[in-house]
Amino acid sequence: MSGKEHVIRKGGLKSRKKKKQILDIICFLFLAAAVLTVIMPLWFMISTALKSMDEIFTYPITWYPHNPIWSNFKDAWISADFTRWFLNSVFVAGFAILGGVLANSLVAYGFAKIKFPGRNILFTIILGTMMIPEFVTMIPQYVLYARLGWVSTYLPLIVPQFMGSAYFIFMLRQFYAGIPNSVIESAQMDGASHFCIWRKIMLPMAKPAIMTVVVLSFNWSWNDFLKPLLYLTDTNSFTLQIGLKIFVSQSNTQWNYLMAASCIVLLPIIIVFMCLQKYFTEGMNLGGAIKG
Amino acid sequence: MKHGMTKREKKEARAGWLFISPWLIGFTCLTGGPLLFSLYASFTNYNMTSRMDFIGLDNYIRMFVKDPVFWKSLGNTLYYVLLAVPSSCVCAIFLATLLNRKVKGTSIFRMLFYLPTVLSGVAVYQLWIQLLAPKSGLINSALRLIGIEGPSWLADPSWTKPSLVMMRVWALGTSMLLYLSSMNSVSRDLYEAADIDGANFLQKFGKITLPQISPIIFFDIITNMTGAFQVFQEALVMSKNGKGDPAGSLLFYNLHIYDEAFTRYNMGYASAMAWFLLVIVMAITLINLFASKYWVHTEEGET
Amino acid sequence: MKKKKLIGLMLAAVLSVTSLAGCGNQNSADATGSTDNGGAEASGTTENTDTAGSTVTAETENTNTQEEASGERIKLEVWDWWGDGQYKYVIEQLCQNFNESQDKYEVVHVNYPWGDVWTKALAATAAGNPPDIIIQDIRTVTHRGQANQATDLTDLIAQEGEGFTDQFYPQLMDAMIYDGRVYGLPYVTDTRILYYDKDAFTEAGLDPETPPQTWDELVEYARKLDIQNEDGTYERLGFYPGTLEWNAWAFSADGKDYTDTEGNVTVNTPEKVKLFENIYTDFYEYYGKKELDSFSAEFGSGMTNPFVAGKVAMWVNTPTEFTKVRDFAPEKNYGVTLMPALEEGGEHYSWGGGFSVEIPYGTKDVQGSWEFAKFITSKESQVFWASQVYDTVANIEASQDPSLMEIPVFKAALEAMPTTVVTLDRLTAPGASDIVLPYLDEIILGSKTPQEALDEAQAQVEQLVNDSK
Repeated sequence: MSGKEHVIRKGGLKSRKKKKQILDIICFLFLAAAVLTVIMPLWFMISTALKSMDEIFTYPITWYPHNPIWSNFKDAWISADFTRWFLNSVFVAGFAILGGVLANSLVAYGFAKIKFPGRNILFTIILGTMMIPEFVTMIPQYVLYARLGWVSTYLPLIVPQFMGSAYFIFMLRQFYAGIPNSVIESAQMDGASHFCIWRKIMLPMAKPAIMTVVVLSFNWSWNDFLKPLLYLTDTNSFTLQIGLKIFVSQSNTQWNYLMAASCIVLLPIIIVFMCLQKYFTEGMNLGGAIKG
Repeated sequence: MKHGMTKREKKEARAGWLFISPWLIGFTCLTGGPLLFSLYASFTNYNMTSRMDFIGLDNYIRMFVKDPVFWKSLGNTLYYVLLAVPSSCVCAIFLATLLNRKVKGTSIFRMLFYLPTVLSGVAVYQLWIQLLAPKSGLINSALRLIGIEGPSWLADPSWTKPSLVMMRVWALGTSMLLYLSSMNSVSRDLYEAADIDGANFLQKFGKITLPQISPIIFFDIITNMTGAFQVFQEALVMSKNGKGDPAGSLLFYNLHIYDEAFTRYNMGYASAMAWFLLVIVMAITLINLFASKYWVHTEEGET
Repeated sequence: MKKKKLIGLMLAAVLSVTSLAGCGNQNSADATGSTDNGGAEASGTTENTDTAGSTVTAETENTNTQEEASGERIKLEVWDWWGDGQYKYVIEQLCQNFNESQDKYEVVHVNYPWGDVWTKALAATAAGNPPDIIIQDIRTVTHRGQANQATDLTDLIAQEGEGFTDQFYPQLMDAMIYDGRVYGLPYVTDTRILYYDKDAFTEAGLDPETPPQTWDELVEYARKLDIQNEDGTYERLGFYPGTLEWNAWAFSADGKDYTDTEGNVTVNTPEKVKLFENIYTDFYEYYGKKELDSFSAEFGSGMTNPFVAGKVAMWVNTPTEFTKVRDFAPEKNYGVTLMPALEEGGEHYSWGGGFSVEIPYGTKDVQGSWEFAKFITSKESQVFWASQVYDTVANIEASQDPSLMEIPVFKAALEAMPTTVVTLDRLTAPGASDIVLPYLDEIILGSKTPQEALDEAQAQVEQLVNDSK
C-alpha cells in the first residue's frame, strides 16, 4: 500500500495520466456495449414507425424497414388534433415544473434544516403517502374534485403540483442534508432569515438537485396518463398521452402511426434533458458558493 | 421536552411550519381526506357506488385466513423487491460512476441511458416480449453465442420475475440521474485533498464518494423499494391474460388489489390490502431509517 | 391569442415569486405566503384558459338548456372505445341515424381508450355524474347490478311488451340478470371457430373440404400438417392451441362454466379433465413446451399473425380474425368450421364473451338513454354493425340476416352460437376463473396431472362459494 503510493508519487503525473487514459477507454467501450441494449427499443420504435402495416405483419420480424415511409410521421400527426394536444401538454407540464421546483424545495428545506416539533411525525406521514397505491384513493379523490367542480378543468392536474410531492420532498431533503450546517449558521449570524438562506444559499448550492426535479417533473407530467384520462372530458383539452391511445384499438392497432407519434412525443423530453444535463454534471464547488 | 420553548425555538418552529405549509395545505385540503377515507373503507364492505357498511375486521380476516391468493401475491412481491431493489441500486451507482468521468461522448451516453425512463407504455412492453422470446429473441440468441441455452423467460414461472427485474434495471435512468447529481455535489476539495495523499480511484470512491452520496443511496433504496412493492403495470401487460400467469408467478400484490377493486368492485377489501402493505413498507422504511444513522453521512448526524 | 395570454400569465406567476428576490428584510412568512399566491394565480389561469379552450362545449351546453326549456334536443353521451377507422365510422353513423330518427335527443359518441373507459366511468358514476350510455363487459353485468352502478331496466323492458328480450341470444340475456332484474341489453358477442389452411391440407394429402370434427381427428391431421426442420424445430405447426386462454378451453370441453347461479361447482368434470389431457399429451408434451412457448412469445405481441404467415395450419380464433387474413394475406385459401368435439358425435362446444349496453345509475335522462339503447340493439342497427366490423351481434335476427351469409365466417359463427357458452364472473364465486387459471398453467407445465390440478381447483372454488355466501 504505502509502496504503491510511493510509486505513484515517484512516477509523477505522466504515468497517472496514462493510467487514466486506459481507464477512460475501458469505460468508453463498456458504455458503448451497454448502450446498445438500451437503444434497442428506440430503434424498434423508429423502425416500426417507418414500416407499412404490411411489413409490420410479415414474419419473421424485419429489424429495419425495407421501404421506409417517412410520411408516416406526418400522417400520424395530422390524423388527429395532435398540435393542440401538444400545446395542452406543454401547458400542464409548465406548471408541473414551476410548482414542482417551488413547493418541493421550500418544503424540503423546512424538513431538512429547521427544527420544529412534529417534524418527524409529519415526515413519516409524507413517506406513508408514497406507499398507498394510487388507485385505492383514486375514487374518493375524484369525488372530492368533482365536488369542488374541478372535473373537466386542468386544476386537478396542476394544483397538486404546487402542494409538493412526497418523492421530491424526500429527495431534496436528502440533498439538503449534505449541505453543511455551518453555512446556515454563519448566515443566520449575519441576520439572514430562513427564506433568505433558502433562496441565496440552498437553491444555488442544490442546483444539480433542482435541475433533477425539473427534468423528472417534466418527464412525469408529460407521460402522465391516468389523471388526464380521469379529469379531462373535452377532446380539445386532452393531453398527448391520451391522444396516443387513439391508435390502439381492440383488434387493429395502427402500430406504425402509434410508434411514429410516440417518437415525436419523446422529442421534447430529450431536448429538455439535453439542455439541462450540464447542470447535473458540471458539479458545484461548495467552497466557492459559500464565499460568493 | 415540555418545559416550554425559548423565543428562538418558537421562531424556528414557526418558520418550519411555514416552510412546509404548501404540503400541509395540500394534505389537509386535497390528498389527506381520500387517504383517511380509504383507511375507513378498509373496515367496510365499500363498493364505491351502493354500500359502505362497517364490518369491523372482516376484510383483514379474509385477507389472512380466507383469500387463497393473498399470501402468494405477497410472496411474489417480496421476491421481486428483494431481487429488483439491490440490483437496480448497484447498477445505477456503477453506471453513474462511469458516466461521471468526463470522457468524450459521455453526454450522449447519459442521454441514451436516461431514455428507457422516458419511454413508456406499449412500445416498451412489445419490445421486451420480442427480446425475451425463447428461440428467436435477442437475449437468448446472445446467450447461445456463448454456449448457454437460455430459459423461456416469460413462459417459465421461475423466470418471469427475473425477466421483470431485468426490465426494471434497464429503466434505471431516474436513479442514475440522482446519483449523477449527487456525485457532482460532492466538494472537489475532498478529492483534491485525497489526490495529494495519493489515493487511487477505488480508495477515493469508497472513502469519499460513497459516504458523500449516502443520503441519496438511502433515498434511492427507500423509493425504489416503495416502487417495487407497488409493481403491477408490467405484470398486467406482460402476462398473457393480465392475471399474473403463468402459474400465478406474476400475481403481484397490487395486481391483486387492482383486480379486487376494479373488476369485482370490492374496494373495501382492496383498501384493507393497501393499508396492510403500507404497514409492511413503513415498517421496513422505519427500520432502514433507524439503521441509516450508522451508515448515512449527514451534516446533522440525522436523516 | 390564447397562447400569448397563457405565456403572459405564466410569466406573471414566475415574476410574482421571483420579485421577492430582494430578500433582505423578508422573513419566511412572506416567502411561503407568496408561493401560495403563485399557486393560486396559476390555478386561476388554468380556469381561464380552460373556459377559453372549451368555449364550444360551453356554448352548446348553454343552448342545450335553452332548448330543453323549449322542448328541444337533450344531449346524451355514449362512452365507448371505438376511436379508430371502421369502428369509429360505424358508431358515429349509428349515432347520426338515431339523431335523425327523432328530434328529442342528440347522442354524441365519446371515445376513451379500451379498458380505461370503464375506470373513468366508474369514477364518474361514484361521483354521481355518469355518462348516459356505456358499452360494458358482459361478464360482469351482475356485479354492476348488485353495486347499483347500472340502471334497472326491468320496468322499461316491460313497457316494450311481451317478447322484447327474445330478440337476443338467451345465454347473453341471462348475463344481464341480477336478482331477477335486468341491468343491460346484450350488444355483441363472439365465439371461437377453427380456421384451417386449405392449401396446406391439399399439400399434406388431406381433403380440404373435410376439416377435423373431433379431437382425435384434430391430432391426426395436425401431425400430417406439421413440417419439421432439420434442427428439430418446426417450420409449421399443424395445430397451435395457445390462441385460446386455458379457461376458455376448459369451458369449451363441456359447455359449462365453473359455477352456476345456485353455486354448484363444475371445475373437475370428466370432460374438462379429458380435454386437458389431450392438450398436454398431444401438444405440450409432444412438441416440447419450449417449442410452443417460443411460438407464443413470437406471436403473442399481436403484431404478427402465424396463421397469416403460414406458420400454423389450424388454429382456433374469433370470427373477426378473418379480417387480418383478408388484409394481410388476401390470396390465402382457408376454411372455417366448428371447434372439434371432445368425442365422436359429441357437441361442438365453443366459448365467447361480449359487450353489453348499459345505462349508468344516476344518469340524467333514463328515457332518452333507453331509446338509444333500444335503437342500437335493434335489428337494423345490428345488421349494419355486423356488415361493417364483422362482430357477431347479440340480436338473433340480425345475426341471421341473409346479407351477412356471403361471408363464410358468419355462417360458421352462426352455427356455433347455440353451443357457445358465455361465461360470467358470478356473484356466487367472484373471480373463480382467476383462481382456476394457475392450476391450468400447472397442467401445461407438466407439474400436475389434469385430474390432480382440477381436483385442487374444484376444492378452491367450492371454498370460495362457501366464503361468498
